[in-house]
Amino acid sequence: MKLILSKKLEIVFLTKDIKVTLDKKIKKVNIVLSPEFYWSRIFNIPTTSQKEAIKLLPSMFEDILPQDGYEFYAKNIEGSNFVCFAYRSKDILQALKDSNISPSVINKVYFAQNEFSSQAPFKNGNFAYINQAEKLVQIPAKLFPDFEKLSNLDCRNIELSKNNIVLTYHSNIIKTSIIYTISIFFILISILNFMLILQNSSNISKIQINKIQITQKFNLPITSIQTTAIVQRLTSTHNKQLDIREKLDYILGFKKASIDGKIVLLKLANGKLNLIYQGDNGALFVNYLQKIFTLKQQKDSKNYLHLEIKL
Amino acid sequence: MRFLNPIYILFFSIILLVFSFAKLNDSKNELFSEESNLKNYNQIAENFHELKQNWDSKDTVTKLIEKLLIDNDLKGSDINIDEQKNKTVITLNSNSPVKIQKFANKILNEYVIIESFDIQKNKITFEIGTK
Repeated sequence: MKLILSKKLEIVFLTKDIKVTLDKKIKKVNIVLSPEFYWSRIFNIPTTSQKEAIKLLPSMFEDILPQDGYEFYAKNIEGSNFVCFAYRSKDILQALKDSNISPSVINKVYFAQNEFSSQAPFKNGNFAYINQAEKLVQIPAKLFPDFEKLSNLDCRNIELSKNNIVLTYHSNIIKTSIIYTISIFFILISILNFMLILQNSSNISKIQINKIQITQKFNLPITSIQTTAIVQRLTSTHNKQLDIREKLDYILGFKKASIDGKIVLLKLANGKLNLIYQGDNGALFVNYLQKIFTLKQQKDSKNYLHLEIKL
Repeated sequence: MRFLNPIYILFFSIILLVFSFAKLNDSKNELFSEESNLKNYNQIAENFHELKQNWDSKDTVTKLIEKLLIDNDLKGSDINIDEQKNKTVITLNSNSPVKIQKFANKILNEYVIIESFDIQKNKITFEIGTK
């Protein structure tokens, strides 16, 4: 592998036998793959679409390729003739890893066959490279008679084509498009959820405003403790007052039904109800009261019955 | 992004989804709690307002006195009103049991705090709290 300066981005000619150390200042490089990284054939495919042609390539390369895991690329050269490539991203990534080239610095990846088609024979490491029958062929130095006379590759004047490939940086257990579809679906649901969360937050804010409005409308104390204390005190008053009225109603209820007797005094003070009943049927009145009251005192003087009830 | 494994994106989306559902659940619970609190708060406020109007308003006693003084049944009766610091003592002197009963009913039917009363044959007295 050799690093050569080009006019634009630097070009790395990637081979399996030569490793290179990139300058730390280099931010982006273009990679040109040596023929050992790919299989190449010219096929006549009845289509002019590059996409359609690539779809057919797995079956066309089936008998040629030694193992699985290949990806394909096709370049239309004339009519329905395509120069087709089969490559394994895994092998290329391994070679890049061996040379300590991070995937983040790679700009684009090219096939040497496309980029060096007009190059004169050149040498790189222990191999000679020549264009033969529209193919770039890699020949070991020992088998090339004039190897030493060959010049090294010079990429300075090379203009790279648009025929680049995208390496797959992951295994394809599940089809990438399915993963992306599921991910987008999940993300959309998440976005919907976050919108609902925002709506809920907005409703919570409205509730807070409603609370303030209620506080102002009913002139409530600032703290809920104060409100609760006042409500408790007034509820106690309410119950107590209702109790007094109900008990009074009950006591006076006897008077309505009675003919022979009457209540001549009814006095409430300090939580005690004193009453004086005048009549012959005192015992009946006492029985009537005892249904709901505990009578504390019973004084029977002449025709008068003195009673004390604790409310 | 080209070299980002789609599985990572899937994991990220799953985590985001789970997180969003958890947050949504929290937010729903908070909203339900706030709604319940508001309902409760409104009830307390209405209760507070009603109790305050009924049992903690000096106007109620003033209105009661006005009612008693202009009442046709009690017109011309001997009604004494003694307004003290924290209470008002209202007394009716009458030989008519009907008047005494009506007077008592009118006071008992109002939201006034009856601290004590003394009902006799010819006289009825109510001590009403005004604090």
